[in-house]
Amino acid sequence: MSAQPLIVVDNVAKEYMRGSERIVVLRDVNLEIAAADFVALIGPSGSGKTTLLNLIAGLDQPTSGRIWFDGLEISKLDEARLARWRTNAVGFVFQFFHLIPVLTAYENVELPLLLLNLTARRRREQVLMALDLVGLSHRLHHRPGQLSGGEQQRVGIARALVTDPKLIVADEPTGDLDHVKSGEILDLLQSLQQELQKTILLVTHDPAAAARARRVLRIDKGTLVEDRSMHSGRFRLFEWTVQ
Amino acid sequence: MKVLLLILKNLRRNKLRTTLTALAVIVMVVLCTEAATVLFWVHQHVHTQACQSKLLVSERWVAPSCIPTRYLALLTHQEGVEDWTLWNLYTGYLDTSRQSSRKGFGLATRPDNLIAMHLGLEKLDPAAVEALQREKTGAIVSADLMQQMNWKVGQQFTVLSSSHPHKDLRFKIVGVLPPGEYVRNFFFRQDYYEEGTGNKETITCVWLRLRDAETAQRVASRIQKQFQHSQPELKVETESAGVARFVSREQALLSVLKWVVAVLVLDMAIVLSNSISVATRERRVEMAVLKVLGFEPVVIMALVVGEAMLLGAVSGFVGAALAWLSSTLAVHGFLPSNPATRIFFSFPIQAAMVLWGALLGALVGFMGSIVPAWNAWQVKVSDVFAKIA
Amino acid sequence: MVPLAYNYRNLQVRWKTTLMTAFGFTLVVAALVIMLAFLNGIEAACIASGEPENVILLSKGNQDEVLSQMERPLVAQVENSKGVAVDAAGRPLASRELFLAVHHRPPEGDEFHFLQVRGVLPAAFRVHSQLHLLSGRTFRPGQSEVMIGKGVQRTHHFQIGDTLEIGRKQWQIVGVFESRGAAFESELWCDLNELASQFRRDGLYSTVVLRAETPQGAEELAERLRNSRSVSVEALTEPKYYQKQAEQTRLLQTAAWVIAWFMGLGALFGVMNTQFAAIGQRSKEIAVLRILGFPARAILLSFLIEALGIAAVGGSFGVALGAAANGVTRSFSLGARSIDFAFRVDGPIVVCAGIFALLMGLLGGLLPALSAMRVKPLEALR
Repeated sequence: MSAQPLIVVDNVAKEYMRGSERIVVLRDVNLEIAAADFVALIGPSGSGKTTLLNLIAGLDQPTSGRIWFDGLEISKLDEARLARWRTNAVGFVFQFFHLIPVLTAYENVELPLLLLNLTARRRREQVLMALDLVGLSHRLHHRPGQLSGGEQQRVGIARALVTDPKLIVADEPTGDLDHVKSGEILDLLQSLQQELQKTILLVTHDPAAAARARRVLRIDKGTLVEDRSMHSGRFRLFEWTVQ
Repeated sequence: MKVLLLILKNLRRNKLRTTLTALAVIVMVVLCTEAATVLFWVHQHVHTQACQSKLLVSERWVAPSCIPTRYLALLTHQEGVEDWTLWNLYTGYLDTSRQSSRKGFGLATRPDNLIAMHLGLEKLDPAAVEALQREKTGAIVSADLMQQMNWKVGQQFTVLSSSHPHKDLRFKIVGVLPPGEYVRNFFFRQDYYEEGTGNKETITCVWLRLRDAETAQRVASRIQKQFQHSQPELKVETESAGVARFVSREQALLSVLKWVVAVLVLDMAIVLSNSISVATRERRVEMAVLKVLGFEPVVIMALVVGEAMLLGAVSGFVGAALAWLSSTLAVHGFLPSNPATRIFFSFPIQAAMVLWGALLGALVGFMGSIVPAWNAWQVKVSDVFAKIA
Repeated sequence: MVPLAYNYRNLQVRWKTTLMTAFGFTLVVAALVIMLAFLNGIEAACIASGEPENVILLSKGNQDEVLSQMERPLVAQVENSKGVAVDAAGRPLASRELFLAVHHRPPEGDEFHFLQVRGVLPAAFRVHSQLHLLSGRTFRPGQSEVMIGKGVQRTHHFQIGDTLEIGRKQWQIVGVFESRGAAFESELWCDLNELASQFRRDGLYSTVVLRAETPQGAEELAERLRNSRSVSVEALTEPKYYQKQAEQTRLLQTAAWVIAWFMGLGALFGVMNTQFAAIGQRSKEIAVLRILGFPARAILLSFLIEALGIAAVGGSFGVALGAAANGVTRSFSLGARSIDFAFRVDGPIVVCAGIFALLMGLLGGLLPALSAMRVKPLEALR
């Protein structure tokens, strides 16, 4: 683990206006995440965990406070530069997969690469590699509709991986999958962290998913209420069920 | 009633889509209304009774026609002739530019029965006719010419004659013709024509009004026979036959116009159909729910067809009303005179066309809703819920 | 840039809507092509009618042969004007012509038709050099014989050997001619003196056509005659004369474009509707594309391309459909005369219609594409 943290969240707050009412979603969040860590963000619905994820992944800007990613202050970037940065630095995995239904698995994975200046050959290599990593080399030309839920999520992960980003964020990646498929997806994410040294940031409701993380952050009503490192990489399930 | 309410609510759900669909139909109905006005005009003139009991007598062989004035008494004293008038064509330029776009076509005629003998002059102000009877150099000028030349009633104008070289005449405007039938024309007195041009020997044509179409046919063949061996020989045809001949010369133009109307109607149906299809696709689940609740498929189809027809009818109404409004404004000189608005002088849109527009819209809505309604009919409760689950 | 496959496949997936919307374009573009081909055909017939070496003379104040009347002394005077070419025998190349629109009633049926009859002298065939006999022979002087233009034969179904009643006499059709699609093809030609005596027009002419050595010479000749103080005539080179006739279609030209724009506007709203619906259905996809890093303008471009695709497909079919009208012959009245013409679809019309379709697609696609661009990724995915 390097001394320099990959992500620094400094005194971040996020507020929304709903009509004339001000809603505070996050307040006084301070956080550092090391490179190649596997972090789970947990908390009840509406606690602000997805908001924090969005801020760290550069999808949204904090109302106050600052966020650094690998030494770059992303909370200062404008939208266009943020988009460019995102393509290189962050890979996204969604609960409902959000693949483009009219494109094949191969084309879906290739999509983010189109934003980078790569030769066609280079793109092909990377797409094939990513799909190989998720174990879908045999289903390159199937459309999402022809794939199972678990397979679709693997394509989603391959798409997140293909630009070789430092950070992969996953918002309830197993929320739409059954128990067995969830386990496979979590295994995959874990192997990405362990074998490719990717930093994984996982938002989840599922204690089994959180149990795979090395560090668990719990958010409640917009503040970090717990920060626990699981050195074993195993999380004691009963502690959570008790709470 | 409940269905209608539901239809209205459905239309308000996606306002953008409803608005865009309505706009498409409105724009096309505007055009359709004018095109249909032209086609109706043709149909009306070829087929109405009035036109079949009126005879146009002109020279048998050559156009422009030239009939000796001595024939007049022989023609107008035919048995069965109720009324008659004559025309002498006098054409020329209305200003010194001598451009063909500044040409006027004067018709020298009898002032006393001007309204009675001419189709489309029912709305002419009788005061104008009285003024013409008082004023020898008077002219009743078409609304189109008045606007193009920027003339006012009471003003004088000179025609640089092309039909009667060196016989330029000066007229005083005593009235305006209602738009429609006479576009580039002005009526003036036959006695002024005779005096101004010196031509007392010939007339261009004679109009005879008979009791009915049957009498007209009889008189026509009698005249034809009577003048068979005269020089020049005469040609007699009913007004509708004359129009038909005129129209047949413009056949190419009319067929293009018919195509345009067909394309417009089809296009409107397509736009409506597309829009309603999207709406029904979005509401498949709702329709299934309605079926579960016990609504009959017919009611669900009625919802779809009703939505399309209502949208079509309202848009058609608005489109035709807009067309009628522009026509009325143009004819009364509130719109600038340009080639696009000039058409309204020849073919002004009648207020009744607004209803026609609404009907057309409803029809188009019906056409456009056939496929979506069929799809709605086909909605199977089980399918829809299976997809959701 | 969002890959084109994305747009292509989406159009494919909702093929019914795509085709319907495109078909709307097809109809509008076809109508535009047909209207333009109609006007183009008339103009082409007018242009073909003029030979640049010829100067057409009409009586003062007249722009149309039908109303023009010139008397013999005037005609004799202008024929000897400076600049008129002469034939081998030293006679001026001048064609005296009497043009009459006569009413003709076929033996069966009681409807009148117009026939356009031109009485000419042998010199006419040297002046109107484009005229060729297709079949039969030319009329003989002093005989009641006519030769008919190709257009007349087509519209009235006359055959060589048929007789026509014109005036008091029966005229026999002895030949059919063509003239590069010119207005003459809508006429019957016969002996000038025979026609004049028939209609008591002896010593009267509608027009005299003078032939100069060169187009330049014709221009000068026309100019000289127009400004002459000793003769009072209207003088125009033939191309100018027919061009002026074609100007009567100017109003129709405007009408055609007004119709096209109105129709196009309808189709435009149609495409807008389709695209708005598509974007509504695909807002989540747009959000994902944005999150992956595609800039807003890539989304804008992508949806514009989709609309343009619909317009292009519809437009191409429209041009093809409209082009089917190419060569169809009809007659059209220009002033007091009627000419036969063929619908003419040419390069400029195709380009015009293509641009029109794309412009409509662009305008119709722009608003929806702008709204696609403004999709807020986080909200759309929520």
